[in-house]
Amino acid sequence: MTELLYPFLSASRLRMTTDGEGVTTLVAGSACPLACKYCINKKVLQQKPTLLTAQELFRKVSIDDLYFQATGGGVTFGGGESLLHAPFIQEFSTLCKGRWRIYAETSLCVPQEHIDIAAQCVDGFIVDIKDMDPNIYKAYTGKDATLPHQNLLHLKELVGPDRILVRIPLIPGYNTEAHQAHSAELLKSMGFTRLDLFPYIIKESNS
Amino acid sequence: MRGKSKCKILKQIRQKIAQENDIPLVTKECTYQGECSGTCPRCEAELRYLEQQLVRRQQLGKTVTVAALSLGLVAGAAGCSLQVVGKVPLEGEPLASLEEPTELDGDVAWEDTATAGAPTAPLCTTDPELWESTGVLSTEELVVGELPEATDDTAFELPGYVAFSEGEGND
Repeated sequence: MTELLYPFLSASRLRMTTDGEGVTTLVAGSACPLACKYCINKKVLQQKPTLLTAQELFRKVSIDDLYFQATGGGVTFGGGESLLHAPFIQEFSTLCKGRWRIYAETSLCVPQEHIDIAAQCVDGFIVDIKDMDPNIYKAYTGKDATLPHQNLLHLKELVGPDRILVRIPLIPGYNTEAHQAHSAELLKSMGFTRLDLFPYIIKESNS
Repeated sequence: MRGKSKCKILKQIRQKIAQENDIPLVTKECTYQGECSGTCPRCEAELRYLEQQLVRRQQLGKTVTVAALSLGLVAGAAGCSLQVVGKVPLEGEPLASLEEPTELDGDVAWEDTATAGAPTAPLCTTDPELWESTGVLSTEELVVGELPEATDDTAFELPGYVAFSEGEGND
């Protein structure tokens, strides 16, 4: 059986409050199906990845094992699109089961099979939904909104709303606070209870 | 999270682990001026020391308590950054409220009052070169999902770090 490899780009230790509960290490893998104008990791995504096995990544992030255990934290997969690597995340989760939590920051713009795999091994999903208006979504990401919206509902059916945090950004030049509020109302009507309305921060590195 | 807040929280976590496991751990106020990523040599040395002491306790057949010791400390002490529509329940209670860090003048040596055989932590100075060598990355405040542009693998390969091996302590 071919060993799964993860295209590791970068990692950031000791994250607090921003990427999952407790102390977390944010790990980024390459590749993303979207082309967001203000992608926050645009330059990191241009780097050449290092291929790591699950064991190698596990040993790498274990440096903060005590913090993870003490705070109920763990590893957050980002990127890029984290769920493109759902099979790898599943293998990684077998190494830290019962010890650390696993979070995934995702756009949900992935094949549904990846959602099914992730639902079994990811403790918390942080979903950047961009905007629920399909025209705004297409204008900003370059992709159709149908797949991520379908996956969002599918994910809720699999894991329930408590494991999903939906982030609704205010995207300069693309949507307004009214659009944000409308997206929030729509998501609440769909049964989502954990929402985060926030503004995109445009830095020189991602503009 | 800005300034010394992260360092303060991590120190509280280490103190809690030491306290719950009867591990002597004397900490001194850090005199580094500026934002902190929590990976300075002193803090890392304390973490490695705790790991070694916990392994020693396990080998002696003593109970080791780490899991969920500091639930809620991070969110409760640092303040949640989310504008949440609908409540997000927090697990547990914050262990302690944050105090403003006491600024001390000059360098303060780390006193090793641990049991014999414990590693001696290097002095923590305000020398910027020392910080660079430990792989401290950008100190600009990072937002959700953002990674520092400068990737430095040495942040995961510090002196004294022994990688966790599969099968050790797994549930």
